[in-house]
Amino acid sequence: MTMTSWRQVRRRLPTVLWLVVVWLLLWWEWTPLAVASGIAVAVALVVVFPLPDITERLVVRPFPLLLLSAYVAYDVAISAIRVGWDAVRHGGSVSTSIVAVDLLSDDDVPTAVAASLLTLSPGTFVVAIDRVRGRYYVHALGTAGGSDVAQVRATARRLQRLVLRTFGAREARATASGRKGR
Amino acid sequence: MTDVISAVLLIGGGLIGVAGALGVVRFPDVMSRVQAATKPQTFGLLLILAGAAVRLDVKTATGLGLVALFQVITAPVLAQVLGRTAYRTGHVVGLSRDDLARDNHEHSEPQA
Repeated sequence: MTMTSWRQVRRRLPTVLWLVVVWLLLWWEWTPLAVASGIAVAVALVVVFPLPDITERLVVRPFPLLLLSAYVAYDVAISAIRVGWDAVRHGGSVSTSIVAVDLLSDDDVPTAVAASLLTLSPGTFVVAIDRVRGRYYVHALGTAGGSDVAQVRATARRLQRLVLRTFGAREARATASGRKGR
Repeated sequence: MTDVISAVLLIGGGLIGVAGALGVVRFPDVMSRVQAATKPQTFGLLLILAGAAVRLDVKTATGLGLVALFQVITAPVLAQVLGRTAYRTGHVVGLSRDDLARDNHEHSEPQA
């Protein structure tokens, strides 16, 4: 086996492991047959549908990950109720806007994770990411005035900081805490 | 006790689902409707799954946990793709502020 292909195998290993875990959870049995078939399916999937490599080294810090999960859960709950209330109270006259929010990182992974989490939270989703200008464009519901816009930006910034603390490389974390953003 | 917890979660999830559905009908444009269709529904579903999981054995509850996980992973992708498509094809009504259009406009100005 050559050097490159060995590295490829190693890079795919976490994906294969995760697929096997899902497979076992779905079957809910820990027999050799279940494990063997799980590995076979996982390897086949990874070979047939290879994902592009993540070029940066991915770090995950467990404690910030907990903080991030708690914040996202809280944010999703609060804003689900807010969007529901907007639907009942304002309906067709709800005000919406697209707000530019500064990116706090240039790295692929934190940018993508923060964008999906922003989109997961009710009331906001990312319409576009402009990496040249370093901005997310966030569509937000219920933004009647400047204070609502400021709140969208504050939430996005807090979320990005948490994401960077969880997944960001060391330098990126430093810039995140140093840069104020808008 | 589990009855009470599960009842609160199930009814809460159902109510939030109804509010989301109401948003789909009442909100003014595609982008807002996508918001109403994907987000409160996700949270409502999570509550309902939690409410059901409380009453079930570990095996089934784990399955529901996987449902929740994949819902959380896939819902933002759907929202993003639909929302961006709606924006790019001009299905936008009454934005009170549009930084994206403003910045793109600035960008396309000739540099004199």
